Amino acid sequence: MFRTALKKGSMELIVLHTLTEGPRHGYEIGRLIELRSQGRLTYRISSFYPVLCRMEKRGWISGRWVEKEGERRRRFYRLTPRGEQVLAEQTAYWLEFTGAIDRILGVAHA
Amino acid sequence: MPDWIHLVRERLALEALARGLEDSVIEEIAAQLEDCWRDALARGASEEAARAEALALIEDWDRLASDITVAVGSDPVEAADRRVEAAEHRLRRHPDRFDWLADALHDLRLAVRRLVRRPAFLLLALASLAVGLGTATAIFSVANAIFLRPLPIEDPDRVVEVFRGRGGNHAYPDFLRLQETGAAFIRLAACDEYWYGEGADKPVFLRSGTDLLRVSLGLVSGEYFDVIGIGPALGRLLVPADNRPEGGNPVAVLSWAFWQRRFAGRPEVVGSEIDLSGTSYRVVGIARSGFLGSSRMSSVDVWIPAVMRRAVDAPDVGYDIVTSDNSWIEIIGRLEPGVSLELAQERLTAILQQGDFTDQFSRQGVTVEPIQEAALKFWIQSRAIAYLRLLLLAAGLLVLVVGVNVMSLFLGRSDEEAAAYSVRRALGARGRHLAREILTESLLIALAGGGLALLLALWLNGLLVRLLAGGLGFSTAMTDLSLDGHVLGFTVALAAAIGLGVGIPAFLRIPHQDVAAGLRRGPVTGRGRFRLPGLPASLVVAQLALTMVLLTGAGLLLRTVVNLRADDPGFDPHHVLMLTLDNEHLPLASDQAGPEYARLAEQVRALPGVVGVGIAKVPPLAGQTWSGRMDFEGYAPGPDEWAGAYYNLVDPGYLGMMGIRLLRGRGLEPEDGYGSEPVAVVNEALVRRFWPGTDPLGKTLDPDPGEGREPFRVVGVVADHLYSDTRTGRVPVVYFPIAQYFRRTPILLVRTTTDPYSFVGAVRAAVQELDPRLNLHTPLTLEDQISAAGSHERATALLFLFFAATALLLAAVGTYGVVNRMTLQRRREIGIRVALGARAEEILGRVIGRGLRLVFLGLLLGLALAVAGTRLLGSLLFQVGAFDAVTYLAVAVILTVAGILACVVPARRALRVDPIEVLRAE
Repeated sequence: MFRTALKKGSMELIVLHTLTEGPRHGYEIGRLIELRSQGRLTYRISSFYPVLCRMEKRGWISGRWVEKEGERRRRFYRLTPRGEQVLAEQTAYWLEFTGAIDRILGVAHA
Repeated sequence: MPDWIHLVRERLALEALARGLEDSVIEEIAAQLEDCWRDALARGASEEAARAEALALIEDWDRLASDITVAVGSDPVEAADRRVEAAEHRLRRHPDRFDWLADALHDLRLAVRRLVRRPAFLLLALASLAVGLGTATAIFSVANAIFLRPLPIEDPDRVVEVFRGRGGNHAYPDFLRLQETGAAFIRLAACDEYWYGEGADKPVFLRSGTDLLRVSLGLVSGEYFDVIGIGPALGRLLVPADNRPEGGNPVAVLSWAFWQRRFAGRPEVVGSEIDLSGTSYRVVGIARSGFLGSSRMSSVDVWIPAVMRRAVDAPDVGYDIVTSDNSWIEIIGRLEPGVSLELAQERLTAILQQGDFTDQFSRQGVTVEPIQEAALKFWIQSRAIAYLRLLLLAAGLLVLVVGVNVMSLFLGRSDEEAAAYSVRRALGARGRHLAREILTESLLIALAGGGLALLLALWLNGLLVRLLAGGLGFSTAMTDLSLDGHVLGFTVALAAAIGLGVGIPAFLRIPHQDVAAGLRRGPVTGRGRFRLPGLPASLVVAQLALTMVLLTGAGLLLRTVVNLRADDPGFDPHHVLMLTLDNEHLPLASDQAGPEYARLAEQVRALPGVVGVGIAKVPPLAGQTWSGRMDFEGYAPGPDEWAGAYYNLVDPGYLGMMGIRLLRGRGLEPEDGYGSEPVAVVNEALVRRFWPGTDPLGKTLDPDPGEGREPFRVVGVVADHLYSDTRTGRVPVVYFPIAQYFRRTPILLVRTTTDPYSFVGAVRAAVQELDPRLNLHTPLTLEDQISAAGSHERATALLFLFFAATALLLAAVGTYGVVNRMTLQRRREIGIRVALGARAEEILGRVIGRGLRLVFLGLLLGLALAVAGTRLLGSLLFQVGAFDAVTYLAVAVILTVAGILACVVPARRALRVDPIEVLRAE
C-alpha cells in the first residue's frame, strides 16, 4: 500500500535521512529502509535505484566507487551540503503536513 | 555464482546512456543483486532460491531502464545550469574582483531554475506582462513621437520660434526688417508649413499628365535650411539667393520620403521640372532623409521659396507678400553661440521698439520660444491630444492591473515557499541572500516580460499608426513610432519597477524572526472556516476596481460612438459621389459663376446612371463648418447673444438631389442668379430660433451686417439635417444661391443608380470636356464620409475596449487564482463537510460566495474610482453623462458574471471532492 507513496517523493526524504549517519552503498540503504520500516516499505531496485540516480543528478547526494580488501567494489553515497539543506526543508514540510492532517483528523499530539 | 554483470547487461536496455555511465549503472545494479543473493545464501537458501530472491528486486526491467534514463538523462535546463556553474567556478578563481558577478550568476541560475520548474506560473506572468507593458509601450511611443523625441534637426535646442505677441504669425515685411536688424545674434528664417500642408484646407496638387497627387507644401525663405541646420541628400537646398522677387524663382526641394514615394528615389529627378497647381518648378535638390519640416505637425513633401506664394494662391486672393501686412508666416531663428533665449528676447524687444514694423507687431510685442516647445503649443489643446491623454491614462491603469496580477501570482508562490524560506533562515541563510534571490527572480521575470512587451509593441504600433493617422488625424512625423532610446528606457524602467514592486513585498512576507511561526504559515493557512488569503485577495479587489474604471470608460465611449451614428441625417446619403471641383486658378468673374456651374451640372446630369446632381460649398457631415453673425429681420439679439447661422452655398439642384424636404415656399431656382433679387432658403431650426410663431417667408436676413448690401429674402423653408457632424447637430442653416454668393472650389455631388465610385472616371471626363483645366479630386461617397465622421471616437473606444477586455481577463484570472487556492487549501475540510452531509448547493454557495465577496468589494472601490476618473472623459462624450446609470449597471453585471465564471471551476472542483479519497490521502 505504500508503493505509490514511495514513488511520489517521500522516498527522497527517507534516503536522505539514512545518509545522515554516514556514507552507505545502495543495497545497504535499501535494506536499512526495509528494516527500519519493519517491512512496511519493501526494497525494490526498480523503484529505488532511479530515485538514487535522480538525487545524485540534482546534487543532493554524491556517489563514489570504493574498493575494500577482499570485497567487490561498491558505490557509496553521502549527503552533500545541498542534500542536507533539502533534507531540512523536506523534514519541516513533512512534519507540518502530517501535523496538519493530525489536527484535521483530531489525532492528539504526543 | 551467476555472472550478475552479464545478466544485468542482457536485460537492461540502456542504449540512451553514455557508455561509461551505462557500465557504471550496470555494475552498481549487479552489485546490489549480488549482495541480495549472498544474503539469501547466508540465510541458508538454495542457490536457485537465492537467485530468484535477487531477481525479484527488479519487477520490470524495461521500466527500470526508462526510469534510469529519465533520471540521469540530459535535461536542457541542467545542461545550461552546468555551463553557468563552470563559468561561476572560473570566476571564483579571481576571488576579489568577480565575487559579485559570480554571486549574480549564481542567483540568476537559481532564478531560471525555479521559474522553469513552474511553467504555468511563468507563462501566466509573462503573458500578462507582455500584454500590459506591450500596450503601454505602444501608447507611450505615440506620446514619445509627439512630445519627447527631439526634432531631427541640428542642435535643436538652439533653434527658436519668434512669435508676434504670444503666438501670432508675421507679415513678410516684418520678417525682412527683423532679419536686417537681428543678424548679429540670431539667424532668422521665415517658413509656412501649415496653410498648404498635410490636411490643410487648400490642397496643392502635383500634376503629371491627367494624374493629380495631393502634396504637402512648405513655403520657406532661403535661410530656412541653414537655420534648421540640415544638408542636402542630393543637389542643393534653398539658399538666400532664392528669395528673389515674387514669383520669379520657381525652384523646389523635395523631402527624402516624398522623393522615394513618388519618384522611387530616381536621381535624375533633380534638375527636372514638376507642375504644382499649374506652375512649373525646377527640382534643385532633395533634403536629408528623416527631415519633414520644422515641427512635428508638418510632414512636408515639397519646399518652395516663400516668395512663390502668389503662384500657389487663387489669382483673385493672392497678394504681394513683400508688401502685404497680412500675417501668415512663421519666423524661426538659430541663436548665435553664447546668446541665451532671454538675451534674444530682450534684444528683439528692443529692436521692435525702435524699428519700423507693422502696427500689430509693434503693439503686441515679441515672444521667443524654443522651437521644440513652440511646435506643440497649439496642437496640445486639440481633441486628438485629449484622446491621447486618455489613452495614456487607460494604459497606465492596465499596467497597474498587470502589476497587481503579477504580484498576486508571485505572492501566491512565495506563500507556498514560505516554509522553505523559514527553514533556510533557521539554518542560517542570511536575509540579504534570500532578498537577492527573490529579487533576482522577480526582476528576471519582469524584464523578460518587458522584452516580450517590446515585440508586442512593435506589432501594435502598426495598428496604432493606422488608427491614429486615419482616426485622429496625426501627421506622418507624429506616427513615426519606431522604438528609440526613450521607448526602450520607458519599457525597461516600467518592467524594473514592476520587478521590484513585486519582489520586495514577497521578501517582506517571509517571516524573519520566528521560524516556527513561518512554518505554521506554510502551505496550510487559516483555521476552521473558509478564509481568503489576505494580501492576494486585496490585490484581486484592486484589480477588479481598476478593471471597473476601464470598463466604465469603454462603455461610455461606446455609447458615445453609438449616439454619434448618423442614422437619420435628414437627407438621403445613399449612392452619392462627392468630388472637389477645383477651379481655384481659373479666371471666373462673379457673374459667370451661376451659368458656369449650371452648364457643368447639366453635363454631368446627362450621364447614364446619374439621377441627380448638386453643387454645394459645404458638404454635409464632413466636419466642415462655416458660420457667421447675421441680422434677422425683426429679431433683436440680447446684449451678449451671438445671433448667427451656418452657411451653405448651393446650386438650384442641391436641395432636391439630397432629398432635403421642402416644407414651405419654394426652393432655389435657376432664375435666382447674379444680379437678380438676393434670395435664400432657411431650415426649420433657424425659423424656430429667430422667427418663432411667425411666417418666415418674405422676411429678410443680412449675412454682412452693416456693409449696406441688399439683404436676402427668405423664399422657402426646408427640414433640418445634420450639418457638419452629429455633435453639432441640427443647427440653423441658410442656403444661399451660389450664383449670388460666389465661392470657388465647391463640392460636386452626384447621385447614381449603382456603385458611386464607378462613376468617377465618367464624371471627370464629362467635366473636363467642358473645360480641361478643371480639376476634380478627392472622390468620396457620402456614406463613406459619414462613417469616417466618428472615427476619432471609434478609434479611442476600440482601444479602450481592448484595454478593458484585457484587464477583465486578468482580473478574472486573478479571482480564479485566489478562489482556487482557497478551495485547494480547504480540500480536506470540504471533504469532511461532504462526509458530514453538506449538500452540493451549500458547498457551491460557499465557494462562489467567497468569490463574489471579492467582486463586490472591487465594484465598490471601482465605483469610487470610476466616478472620479470618468469625469476626465467629459467633453469627449456625446449624449451620455459621465455618470450614466445604464453603463455603470452594465459594467457591474459584466464584472459580476465574470466573477461567477471565475468561481465556477474551483466550485465544481470542490463539488467533485470525494470525502473517502481525501481522508484516505491523509
